[in-house]
Amino acid sequence: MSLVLLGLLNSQAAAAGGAGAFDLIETQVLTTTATSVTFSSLDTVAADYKTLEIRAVARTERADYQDQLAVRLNGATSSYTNHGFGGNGGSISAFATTNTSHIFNSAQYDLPASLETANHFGFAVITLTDFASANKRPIVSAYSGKSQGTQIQDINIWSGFLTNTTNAITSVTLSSRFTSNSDFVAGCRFSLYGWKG
Amino acid sequence: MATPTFELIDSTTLTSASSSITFSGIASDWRDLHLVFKLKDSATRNAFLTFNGETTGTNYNTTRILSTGSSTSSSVYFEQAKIYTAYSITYLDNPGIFTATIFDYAQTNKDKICFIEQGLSYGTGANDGYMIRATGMWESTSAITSLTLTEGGGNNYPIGTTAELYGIAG
Repeated sequence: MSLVLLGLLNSQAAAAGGAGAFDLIETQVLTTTATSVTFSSLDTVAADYKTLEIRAVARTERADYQDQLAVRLNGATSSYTNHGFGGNGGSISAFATTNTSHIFNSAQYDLPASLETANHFGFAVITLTDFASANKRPIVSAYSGKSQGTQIQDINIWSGFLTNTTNAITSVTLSSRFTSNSDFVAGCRFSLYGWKG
Repeated sequence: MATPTFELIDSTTLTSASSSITFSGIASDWRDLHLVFKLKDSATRNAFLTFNGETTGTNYNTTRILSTGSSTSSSVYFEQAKIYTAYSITYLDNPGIFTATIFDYAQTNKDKICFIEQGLSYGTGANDGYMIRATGMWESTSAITSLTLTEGGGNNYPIGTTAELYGIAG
């Protein structure tokens, strides 16, 4: 099935050999809205790498000024624990959440939403350390931020992990933390990179 | 052959003191830019970031968090003429560094957003250092073709100051 038919422009880079220590594996650029974006078959497409990095530049259709990015590993919908902190220009707040349905930054927000200026996007850089290990809790660390015309601006550092397994990470799904009317908009970009280890 | 993912675009090392450093003629060949700036001086030195020669107006925003050995704070610089990248990059001849990642710099459907990391340790006291993380934005959909680091306080960067610009595929 063509990914273009799913509303994605998809490019793959490093699979053909000649790769370095830090390689682009795949980029997905949305050509239409999408509820989520998944990088799958990581045990195959990223088999040459020790650590993965995802770069997202995104916003959503949520009927608000802002939204929160959610990360799911291996399709799991429960048993995540999250920690982090963030600042919004006025204060810094820290958070810890347990037994959540995804990994996310609950201190602040990451992404502009539909009420915000159309060309404003947020960013997130998500690292999956030792993603193929089968003897560690699957863990991610991230930083994210956005800057908006309404002075709702954020910078965040956060992490999360699955508490009920030591399975290798074979897929990562990104979405809004909110469950309805919060699709990613066209133009959002998601790139997967691999680090040799 | 794989597409190079992380490439040095240009670098400069000052051979005479200068109040600014500019990278110009940046092609749209990559997805993100990564800037590394390093210097050492006896006094505090700042670095403000601007794009495409736009040094007036109100199109730049910065939000940052700062941690010292004993406190944290968050500040915002909204509708400014520059991005505030650093508190002070160097002090008391201790070398300092900051990096900035500029996402989707050539995409003309997005205003430009960047992530900034900076830190400095200049002594052995509990508060003799700090770290900063920040979000910066240039409210323009223009592709970035040049960027300038400016000291901004009427001072020069010393001889030996280095700046490196990398391109990241995506």
